[in-house]
Amino acid sequence: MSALPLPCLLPLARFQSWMQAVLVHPDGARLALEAPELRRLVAPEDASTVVRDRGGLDAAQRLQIYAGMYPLRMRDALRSDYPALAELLGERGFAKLVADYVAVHPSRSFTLARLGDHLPEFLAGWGSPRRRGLRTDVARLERAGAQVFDAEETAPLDADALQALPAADWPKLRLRPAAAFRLVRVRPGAVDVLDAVLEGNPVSERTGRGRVEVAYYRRDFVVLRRTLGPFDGSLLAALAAGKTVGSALERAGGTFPGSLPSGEVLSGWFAEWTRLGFFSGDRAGLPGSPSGPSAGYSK
Amino acid sequence: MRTVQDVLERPLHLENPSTYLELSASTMGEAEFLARLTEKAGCGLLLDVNNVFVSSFNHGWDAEAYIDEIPADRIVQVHLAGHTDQGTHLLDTHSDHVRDGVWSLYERLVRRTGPVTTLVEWDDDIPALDVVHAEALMAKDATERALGTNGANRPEAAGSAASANEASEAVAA
Repeated sequence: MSALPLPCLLPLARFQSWMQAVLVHPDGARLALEAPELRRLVAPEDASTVVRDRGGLDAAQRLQIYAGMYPLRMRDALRSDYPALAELLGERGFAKLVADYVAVHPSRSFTLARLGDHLPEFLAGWGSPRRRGLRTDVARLERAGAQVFDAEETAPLDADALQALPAADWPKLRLRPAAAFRLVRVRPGAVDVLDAVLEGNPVSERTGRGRVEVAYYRRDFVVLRRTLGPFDGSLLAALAAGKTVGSALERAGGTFPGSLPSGEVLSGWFAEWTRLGFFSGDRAGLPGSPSGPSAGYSK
Repeated sequence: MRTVQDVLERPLHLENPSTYLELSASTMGEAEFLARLTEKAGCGLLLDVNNVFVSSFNHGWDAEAYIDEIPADRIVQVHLAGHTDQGTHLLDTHSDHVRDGVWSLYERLVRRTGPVTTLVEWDDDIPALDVVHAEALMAKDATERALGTNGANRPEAAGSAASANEASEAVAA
């Protein structure tokens, strides 16, 4: 590549591509300038014509200041969304995770809030297999919490309309999860990790037995978490997956035979879930609701 | 900027960054750029005096000339913060007390703007509240020093809140 004219009038897009590539290069700015893919954009000897070379620091050193900040910024952003995971991995482990993750999933959004969107899936194939499932579950819980935090506000299901529904209509009723609701099935140990971090206690790597359903929801702009029991967790999971109430009850009953709760208990659960805003009122199709019968009500 | 302000139906205020490299292709200094930008866009300026200090050190600028060139009537708010001296450069870390050189620049600015809303930023290694509060009170002291040393000190910006009467009130405060 021929030398650039002084002062360098590099096209903006080319400059941005070059600088981005320098800042995220795993070997640091000075070695990045020599990398073949970067030589194609700006010859190493031309770097000091693009970046003003003045006052004791050369172009590579100035670029390295930004290159050094970049992983720290990524780490801060991911730690704010995955604090329990950071605690579980420790400082060095988390830094390694961030470096490996960002190399595969660099920031592509205008907001760093989206940086960690793929972290749980990445964790499923990262690091030592020991406790990989626990780490992934912790990340899935924390991502659910972040998603509920950012979710749009939707009209909740009208509790009175639901309770007024004739009994014969319930089996075919299909309830739509609210935008600010997530249900995650995880190892119990993952919940213990989050609780330990919240309470300032040491975290344990015990995974616990089996799986539990954990609900994240939002009330008055505060994200809340609730671990469900075996039957209600299974029932809510089926409802959230789009099953009718009748099908969901059948499935939960099949999973936990002999555990079918009384009508009073079931009614209490639905009333509680509705009160907490688990279900959306949008197009719920309940008779008497403002939106009337629609796709949300299966006949 | 104008488009965004029109869409949001709100005025925007731009903040000057701390920078660690300059581009050779730049045809004007940062202060001139901000002056022109705020004028053309009709937007306000959030002047970070620590960033002026840090960037000036890093690039060999005249920080006092920068303060003198900024349009005082565009300044809506001022930020102050601490920085970290790396020897060859300064880093805008927001992790320490505001340094003496930054206070001097702040007083120089206030002599142009009059009393101005000022925010002390301390985001890392955060000390006890009374320490940060004391830092904020130093901004008040610096303002009084800047405006009260002699009767000739009057803010030059016609659009600033400091008319002759208001300047007297600030001195008496």
